[in-house]
Amino acid sequence: MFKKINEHVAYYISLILIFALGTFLMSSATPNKQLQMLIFVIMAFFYVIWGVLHHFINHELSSKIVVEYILIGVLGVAIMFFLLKGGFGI
Amino acid sequence: MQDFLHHLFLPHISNNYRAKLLHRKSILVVIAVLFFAGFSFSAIRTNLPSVLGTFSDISSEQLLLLTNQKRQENGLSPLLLNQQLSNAAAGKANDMFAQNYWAHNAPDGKTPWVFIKAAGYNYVYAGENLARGFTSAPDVVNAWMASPEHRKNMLSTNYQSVGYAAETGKLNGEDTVLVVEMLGSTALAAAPAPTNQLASKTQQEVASTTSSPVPTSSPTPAPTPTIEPAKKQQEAVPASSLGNSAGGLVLDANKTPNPKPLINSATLSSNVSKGVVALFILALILDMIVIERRRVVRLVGHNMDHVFFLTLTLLLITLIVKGAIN
Repeated sequence: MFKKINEHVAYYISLILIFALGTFLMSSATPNKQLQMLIFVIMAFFYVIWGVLHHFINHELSSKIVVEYILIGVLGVAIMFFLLKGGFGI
Repeated sequence: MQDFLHHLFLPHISNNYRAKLLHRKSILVVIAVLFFAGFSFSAIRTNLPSVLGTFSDISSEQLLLLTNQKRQENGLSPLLLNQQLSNAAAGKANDMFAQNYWAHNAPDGKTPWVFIKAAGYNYVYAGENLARGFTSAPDVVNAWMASPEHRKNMLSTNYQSVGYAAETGKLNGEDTVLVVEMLGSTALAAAPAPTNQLASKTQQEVASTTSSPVPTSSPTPAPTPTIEPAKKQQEAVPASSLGNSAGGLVLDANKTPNPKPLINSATLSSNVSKGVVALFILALILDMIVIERRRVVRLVGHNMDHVFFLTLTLLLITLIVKGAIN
């Protein structure tokens, strides 16, 4: 597991940068929850792009993998939507 | 039950060596349920506010107790709860909901001092702290104490009394809880204790603001804050210069409080969201460990990527539920 992370350390650094920027923007958007939702959707989109590119560069890309990253990205968005729409009525 | 959990969380021959929860169909079902639940909760909040809605357990007594604890820890005298200041705080909170703003000054230019004067409190010093989206008094007080400007207000020797209001309502299309703290004094501050550095500093600030009093002869005195209303609002003017005009402000002190709903939607949705994320993280980690050990070759995405993404989602859920201060 850790060996795999070491092999892909540059990719993970770029992912951490995307997440750090997203977290900063979401924190700055407080208390505007609509804006926070929008930032999260953009971040999830970049996560999917990052995942697809990562597999493409490593010659492991397949349609199944693309769908998997899209589903995980949409799952994150669905969780955030449930929290904000259901919990705060945005 | 054990077999079901095994099937759901661990890669096995029964689930084609991929935890069932991580199958495309399972993820799609969870996504659909979450979107449906989001819309359903929203509809219930609108149509049955007595069942599902936003409420807080924040009370004036709790806020006073915690504030005075902080003041005593810093060698300061406790504040007294003042009904007029509480009415002013309630008036400010209701005005923010009515005019849809969250700031010290209203869009129509109304300052916090207007609410204090309208409540009949003739102040020498007055201050205001705001918070929104918090569900407990310790969180509010801790957030204020963590901000240098708000902390300065709470630990000021200028104030003798305080009033609080915690009101629920809709702000910018979002159900939220607004907490307003109005601090005030009807007399000049006592000389600070020489050993208390913070109190000493505050006293110096007052000395400079009171050195240029507002003229008392003005027929319609409009006290201008002598300190810019940025993060903190503080004003020092001679009491004699204050007018009685409320500027058309209506304070609804006798307003019936909103009925407390059966379930707090913010807490429920936060806990459910955290639970769902935690389940997926657990399934991904277990899947990763078992597959690594058994050296099974599969064509799937990197579980570690998804764990990172979902851990971030969990972090952000916690961040979003946290309130804000002003």
